[in-house]
Amino acid sequence: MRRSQFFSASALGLGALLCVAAPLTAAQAATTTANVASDLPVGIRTGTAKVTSSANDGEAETRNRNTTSVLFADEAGRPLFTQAAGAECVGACLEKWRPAIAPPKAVPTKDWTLVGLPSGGSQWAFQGRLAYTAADGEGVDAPLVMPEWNQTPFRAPATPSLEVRDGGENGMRLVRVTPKSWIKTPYSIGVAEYRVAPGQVLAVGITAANTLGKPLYVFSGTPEQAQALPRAFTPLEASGLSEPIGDFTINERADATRQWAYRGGALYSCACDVSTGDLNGEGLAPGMAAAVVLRYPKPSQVAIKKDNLSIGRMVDARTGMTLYYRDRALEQYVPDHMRPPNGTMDPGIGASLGLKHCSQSCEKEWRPYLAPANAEPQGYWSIYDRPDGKRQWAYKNSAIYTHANERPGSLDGNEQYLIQFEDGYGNEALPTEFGMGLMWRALVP
Amino acid sequence: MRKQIAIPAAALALTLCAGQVAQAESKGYVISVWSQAMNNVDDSGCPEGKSPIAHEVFAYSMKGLGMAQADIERMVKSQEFGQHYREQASMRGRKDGKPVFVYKHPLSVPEPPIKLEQGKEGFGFNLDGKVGPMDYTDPLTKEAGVDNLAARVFGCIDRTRGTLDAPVGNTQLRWLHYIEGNSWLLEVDNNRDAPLDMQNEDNVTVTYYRGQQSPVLSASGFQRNVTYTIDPNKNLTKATTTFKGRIKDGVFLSEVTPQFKFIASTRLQPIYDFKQARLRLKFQPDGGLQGFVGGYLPITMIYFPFGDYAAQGEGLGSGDVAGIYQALQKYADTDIDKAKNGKRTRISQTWTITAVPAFIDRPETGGPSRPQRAEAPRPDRYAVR
Repeated sequence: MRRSQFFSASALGLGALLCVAAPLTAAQAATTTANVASDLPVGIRTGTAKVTSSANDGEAETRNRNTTSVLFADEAGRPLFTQAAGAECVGACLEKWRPAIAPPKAVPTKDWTLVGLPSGGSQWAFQGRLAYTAADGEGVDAPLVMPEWNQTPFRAPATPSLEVRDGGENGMRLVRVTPKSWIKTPYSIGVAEYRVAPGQVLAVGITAANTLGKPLYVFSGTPEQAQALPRAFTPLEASGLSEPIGDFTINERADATRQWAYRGGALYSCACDVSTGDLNGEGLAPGMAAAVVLRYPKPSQVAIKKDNLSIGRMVDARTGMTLYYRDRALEQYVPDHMRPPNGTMDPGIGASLGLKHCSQSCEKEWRPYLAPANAEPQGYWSIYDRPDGKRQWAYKNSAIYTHANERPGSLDGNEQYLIQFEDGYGNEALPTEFGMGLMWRALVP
Repeated sequence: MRKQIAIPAAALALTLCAGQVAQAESKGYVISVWSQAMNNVDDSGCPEGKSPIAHEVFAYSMKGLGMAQADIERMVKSQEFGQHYREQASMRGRKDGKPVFVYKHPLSVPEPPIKLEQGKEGFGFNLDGKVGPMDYTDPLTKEAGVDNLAARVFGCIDRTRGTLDAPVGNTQLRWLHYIEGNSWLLEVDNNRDAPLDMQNEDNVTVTYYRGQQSPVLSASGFQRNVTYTIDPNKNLTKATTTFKGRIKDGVFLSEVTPQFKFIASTRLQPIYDFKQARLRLKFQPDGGLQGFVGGYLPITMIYFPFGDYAAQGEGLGSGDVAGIYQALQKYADTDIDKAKNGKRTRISQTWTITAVPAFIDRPETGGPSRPQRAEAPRPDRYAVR
């Protein structure tokens, strides 16, 4: 690089490092999505179950005998199983296992493909392995509960838990939503759930004490864009002894260092990520995107707005109105900035609460966040059918609302208590599982 | 020539020195104790005895529901009394003849025998400007007509009794904020470009902030001179958090503040909502402060932690929780925010504050808005609470 170019690039980089880089325009941002993510197709859900595993299933991830795992499931909530690549369930096997049938409108993704069935229709396949559901009733009709439920007996009824036996006959294995278990990564790189992505993101520095680590970004832009990357982005170096593994390759850089790449995109970390859960590098440079390996679906009418608390809030994409849900009035109040990465939403409470305890007058202040007629439940998002015939979005089973007369982006409705017991002032008591009251909280991913 | 130069130089030096003396400053504190202000120095305030505790509550409640005395005695004496209490006493409420969870239906039992504290002296403020038979005289200020009816309700319940030196230990009434993960901060400012006179100062403001860090504890108590950052989430403070007043003889006394409201904790009150609030702070020789904040608070908020802890709380000495609620309603002493059915919803209550010096940072500026004074010299005793 000529001296003048070096200085100008350095100045640009230094300026970008010192100043907060302006977010990209929508047009620019549209070019930044790297093609590394597994999107969840319509017809595939995720959910949680208690899993009883066989003693040694030979995979890298250590599992206890009984664990709580996030699983992939079909539309009806039946957990999905796969056999080894290339295997097919035939004959007597089909007495115990049913092909996981994709809905007619299913669209394949990178990881979820469709295989035509002789009888018509299509069967799901995950990363080349045909998917099945158990025919012996191990699926349940109740909706799957989402991760991190709280089963304090006094607070909530025991949430309906799905118990599944893994390591079943014919070599079937559950398809767990743990990309770490089906993405081979270098030792230093892991996968963590980043709420603001939303999804599971490649990260470094994951430890028992820091389960999120520092997120990684994947660059898939042009060489010219690479030259202009802000200095906040640091190449993820590969040591001299590192070898490519899985979808991870190693680029030899012009300065003789080696850099990890994932599915062809060079990997970077960002100095802009300071606090746990930060994903501030998104939108900072053309060609750079968070290394999301499993993107959680969300309705197109919902956007994630990051704020100075770095945890992100969900808003209506069109109006910017903050979305709210009702949480229990927790015994231990947790300020937003202290809330654990997995939040405090209890899907059991959300399911028990449903649309109840927000009367007509309540709904004048808290407006139901409606889903269009053609909306489909996916990922953490589900839909309640309302008595008035409309449909209302729910996130992790909690019905979603907006706060009337609130300025877009404000949080006037946040942390408002609904102390509700039979108080002699005309209020009714909430059911026992909701304790003394509820609390309106801004919805975080 | 030198003399002519020297004189202007000296004048310049004097001018510079004079400019350095006049500096604005504020003083920050972190609250170390927040407890209901009780003055139960002895049992003379409870001449009729204390309010009932768990086994007494169980006895009269079950008797009222028709349980045989022999069964009551057997259950009270048994090792499974706790389980009996949770199962039977929790459901002692009756609505339309059916058992209901009494903590969420505190009016569903006959008026329990809560004994009111009858002492003459109690902490607080004369909120209504009157002197009535239920009012206290403040033992420190000697002000008559002090309105603190909540102290009369709680004053004969063992678990909720206390003094200034031994604040109420019930976690429902004393904030163990280091569990909650945040801190409560006070900033004293004289609003002028001059040093803050902690003895006498007009036009003083005391502002409450929520800090992001838990208070730092050491072996001797709350650590002094720690820096805390104001939580940028401004929704945590729901209404005016600045008290205006003056410092006289080392005591800050605020004007009447229409509302002082901030989100707190379900262990205490989910939201503190003082109306007609007053604040009085005495600056201590060791650099800390001790004082009181009083006003009219919502009965439902005061009751919340008792109802929330339910049978567990009653078992730990809170007494008849339904009785507490009924007594709070019965002795509510203000018409502010009356319910649509005409019932009063607020009662006077005073809380005691103890704080140690701290530095307060603003997240948007990365530092204090005004220079903050370091702590005053302190005596050998380190222990502060």
